[in-house]
Amino acid sequence: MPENAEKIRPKAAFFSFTCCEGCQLAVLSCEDELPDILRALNIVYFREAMTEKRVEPSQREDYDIAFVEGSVTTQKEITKLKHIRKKAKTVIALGACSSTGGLNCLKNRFPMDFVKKTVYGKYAEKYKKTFETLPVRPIDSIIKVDCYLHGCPISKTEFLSAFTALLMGKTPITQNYPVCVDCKMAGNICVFEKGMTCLGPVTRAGCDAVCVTYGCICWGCRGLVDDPNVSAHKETLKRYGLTAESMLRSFDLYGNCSLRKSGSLGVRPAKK
Amino acid sequence: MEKFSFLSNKEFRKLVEGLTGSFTVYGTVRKDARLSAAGDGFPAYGRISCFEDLVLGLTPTHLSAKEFLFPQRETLLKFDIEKMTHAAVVEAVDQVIIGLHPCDIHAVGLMDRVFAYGKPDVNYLARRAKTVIIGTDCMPDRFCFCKSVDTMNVDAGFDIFLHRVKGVEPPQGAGPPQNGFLVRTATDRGKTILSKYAKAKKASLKQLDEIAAFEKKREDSFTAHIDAPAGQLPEIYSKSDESPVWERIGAICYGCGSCNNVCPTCYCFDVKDEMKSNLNEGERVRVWDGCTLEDFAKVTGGHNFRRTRSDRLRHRFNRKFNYLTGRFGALFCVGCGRCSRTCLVQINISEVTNELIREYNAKKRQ
Amino acid sequence: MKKNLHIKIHEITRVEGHGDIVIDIRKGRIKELRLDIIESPRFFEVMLVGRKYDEAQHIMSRICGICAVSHTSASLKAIEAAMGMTISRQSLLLRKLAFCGESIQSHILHLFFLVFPDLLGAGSIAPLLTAEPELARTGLELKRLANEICAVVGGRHIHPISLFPGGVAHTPEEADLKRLKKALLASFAKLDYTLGFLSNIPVPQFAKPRETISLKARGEYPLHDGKPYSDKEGAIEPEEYSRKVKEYCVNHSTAKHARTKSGTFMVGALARLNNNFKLLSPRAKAAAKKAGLTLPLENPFMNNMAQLIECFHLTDEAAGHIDSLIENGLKSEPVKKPRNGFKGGRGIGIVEAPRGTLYHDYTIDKNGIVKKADCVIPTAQNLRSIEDDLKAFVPTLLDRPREEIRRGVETLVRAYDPCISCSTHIMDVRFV
Repeated sequence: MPENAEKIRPKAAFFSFTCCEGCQLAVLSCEDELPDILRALNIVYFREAMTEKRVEPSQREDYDIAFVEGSVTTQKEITKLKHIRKKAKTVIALGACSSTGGLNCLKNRFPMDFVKKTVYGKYAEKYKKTFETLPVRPIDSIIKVDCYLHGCPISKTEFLSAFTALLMGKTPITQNYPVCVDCKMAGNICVFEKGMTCLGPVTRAGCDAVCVTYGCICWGCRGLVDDPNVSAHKETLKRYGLTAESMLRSFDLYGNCSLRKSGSLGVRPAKK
Repeated sequence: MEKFSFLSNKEFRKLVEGLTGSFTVYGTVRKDARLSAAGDGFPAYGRISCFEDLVLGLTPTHLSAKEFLFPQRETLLKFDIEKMTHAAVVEAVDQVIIGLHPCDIHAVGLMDRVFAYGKPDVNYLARRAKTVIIGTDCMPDRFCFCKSVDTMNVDAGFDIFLHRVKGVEPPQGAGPPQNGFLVRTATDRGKTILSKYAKAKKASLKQLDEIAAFEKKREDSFTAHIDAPAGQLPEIYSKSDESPVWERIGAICYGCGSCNNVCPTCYCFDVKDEMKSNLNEGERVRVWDGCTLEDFAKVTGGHNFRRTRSDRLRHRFNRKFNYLTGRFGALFCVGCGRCSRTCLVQINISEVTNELIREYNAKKRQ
Repeated sequence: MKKNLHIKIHEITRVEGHGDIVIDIRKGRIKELRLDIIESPRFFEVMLVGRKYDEAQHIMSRICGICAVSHTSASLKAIEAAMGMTISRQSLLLRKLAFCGESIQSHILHLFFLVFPDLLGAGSIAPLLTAEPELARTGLELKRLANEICAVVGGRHIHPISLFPGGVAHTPEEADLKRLKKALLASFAKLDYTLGFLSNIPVPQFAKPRETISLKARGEYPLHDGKPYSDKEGAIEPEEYSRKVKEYCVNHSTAKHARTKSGTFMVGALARLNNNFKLLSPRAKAAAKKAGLTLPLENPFMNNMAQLIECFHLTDEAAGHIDSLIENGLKSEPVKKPRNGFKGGRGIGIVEAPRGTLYHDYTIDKNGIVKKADCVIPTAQNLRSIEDDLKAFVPTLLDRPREEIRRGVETLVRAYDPCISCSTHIMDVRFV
């Protein structure tokens, strides 16, 4: 890439909705590659790390790539997200909160009034507008998403491979096989053999099965593969002694993703 | 029986220590001891940096030893699109793998033929040429069925093979019986290594009787088996495309590729070009792929030649018992039982095959 | 002096989360001076209800990407206290090591990515890569090492994996720890270089006495362990914490505010240094002397320096933990299970997160299900202090150009290193 080729550097922006900002931080944690990234991309908006050129989505300037982290939980966010879609050639969902709703969806188990009252008590009613909250949704329930980077948090490797793919004019690869593949490749002994259970057989890979490698289980943060065998997995979990309740709980942790598939969360299909 | 000599435990330790001093050594270990029911861990392959790391197991490891010859991920080429340069990469170091069972050694033999077939695969072959294989005897568990596919014994394909023995009762008062191994070698390299690092003695008749008795016990211990001669399996499989078995196992299969990944003879791979963040340098890498994964047979335009899990399982089973036998004159299943052992939905390769045999025989009788 | 000033800074940059600053001065009097926290509220306390005890740390880690280890640690301590679980010495040392890694990572991120661009008149670290390459590289290298510490222990620094109720589910390799120790010792030169840079930058003279709260411990600088302590009120019993530090809501913030009996107080590196200076490592004390620090620290702008001094201490401490772990002999250990016949109970976990005292309080039932959760977040505790400081600081700037005022208030807010995602379980400057 020639230096000073300001005009051909794709304009990129990073936006953050309801989340922990850990996925943006994962980008900042690519310490070795950060100088390359900053050279290759013309970053026009990155609130967590940059002050210059704060181009608001409502302003005229458009972007080639918009990275969006976080899920949607307020009316304001819906409006902002739609603006972003209008201005951006490519929208990339960055991490579980934006791609599947993530762990934020745990809130959806309860009525919103109860949720507000539990956390803000008497103030929930008093400052109604401040504490406005909608059931959690992934961004593709509002806008069309061109590419998903899954995981809580995203994998640095996957981000970098998406970054190079986009700049080379290719479509970034999203893995469509279960975590079991990554886990076998990592040489791990199966969680089920170790007397635990996990969601690996139905969860999308791309994480190098890092949670199992570090002594835990697959929690399902990357959402389901395109064609998950959920019924088979329920049978397996039953055979390994899980009750219906604990089974549901484990499927529930990330984005109620299995429920979302069947539309029982009341999520509107994306306008394409 | 000149081919056997006796290696005491003390000499065996010298052998292993000699090898760890001069080679990269992999071998059988016990993994995750604190999480196994018996507290002694799970049999697996791992890096051996000292004698104590090595645990020669009687039952198959979790993953096969193929990763040391055909790694999960290897670089084939490095390139630089700005400088317009490229260089082939062949990563091979002198290495030893200790603890392969006869089925695993047969599997390595099959992989040797695959990667030498057609245009020889330089990366595999270079690694293979630098690999010393030390096998050991074993005892079947409820998934092993090597006896049914003629891979129970090996005479070649290894450098050194170890048979466990209790050893000779020493004269009264001279300490405990000396445990060790009866060893045989199948290559000159094996002989050289053995004589370089350890001192083998003549095997006694008693020791030979002992391994004969062990082999007899082993032969009698199989519970899993295939109910047709190995030679008949390609024919049976070729007549089983319409079997209801595929639908049934397809319905419970995850499509998780675990059977492919643990299999010692599954050799499919994907090749990708990966760019570095500077967008000039890149690498061509190959990574394991698996025919049971949804996207394996998906092509540009989105068509999938084997869309359903049933289609994919049928393909995999046929690769083991039918398709490749014509090209290589051998079954591609070595009976290690790893795929059955790892399958969370309990799809069992020998049971599935037996079901097909039953259907085949029933049709023939009609 | 200007009589009227209306500034609204929308979404203050280079802070974690979304916040606005609103300044409205009429006829020289403050009409409105607020830090609006506009981050969408996340309701973690509700998310945890009905979940199993061994998911709690996993869920609560997701409160914040920057201080995930702190949230995990506070969460684990609360779970273990509620359920009567003890952890091995090795597990404790590993958790403390990961804690040091995260605190260094957080401080370095704040200093190099968020604060230094202000000091050098840049908008981000990006121009510094070419204008101040050595400084930028120093920051990136220090940060990478800190991340690596978390990764070796916990699998990754954002949402660590192996820190699990009853211990640590993965034992690192001795070789990896030795490599880290070597790198830690080598990093003191980089910290010295950073200290040289930061001590030469003038700090606004803005001392304002206030109550400072942090943990206090005997024999060690309190990070992972210790008991809450106020320099005004003395020791606070953990069970009393949420009553002594009273949370309340304001209409302009989705993050709660907090006050003590005396009103405004501050938590964070500056508070810790005030309360525990004697416990710093000799290298950290020497660095403080070199920087010309005098106690008590009353200027919030000095929080940046306090963080850097802590980096010296944390580096020493991390190296010490590695020595102890190796001396102890690394063993693969099972994580401990809750005590038999657990009848349900309440547990409190308090740690010193990079931004200050962090409090988790759970009630768990006999089946190991979380029934109630309450968290007090460092940034929420600082919001009142930030607004008080703005009210005192802005009038001193009124004769300056508008842009300078704007930069000044942003710099003040940033010095607190607010972590808004955390506090909403929120920042922007809005000039209206």
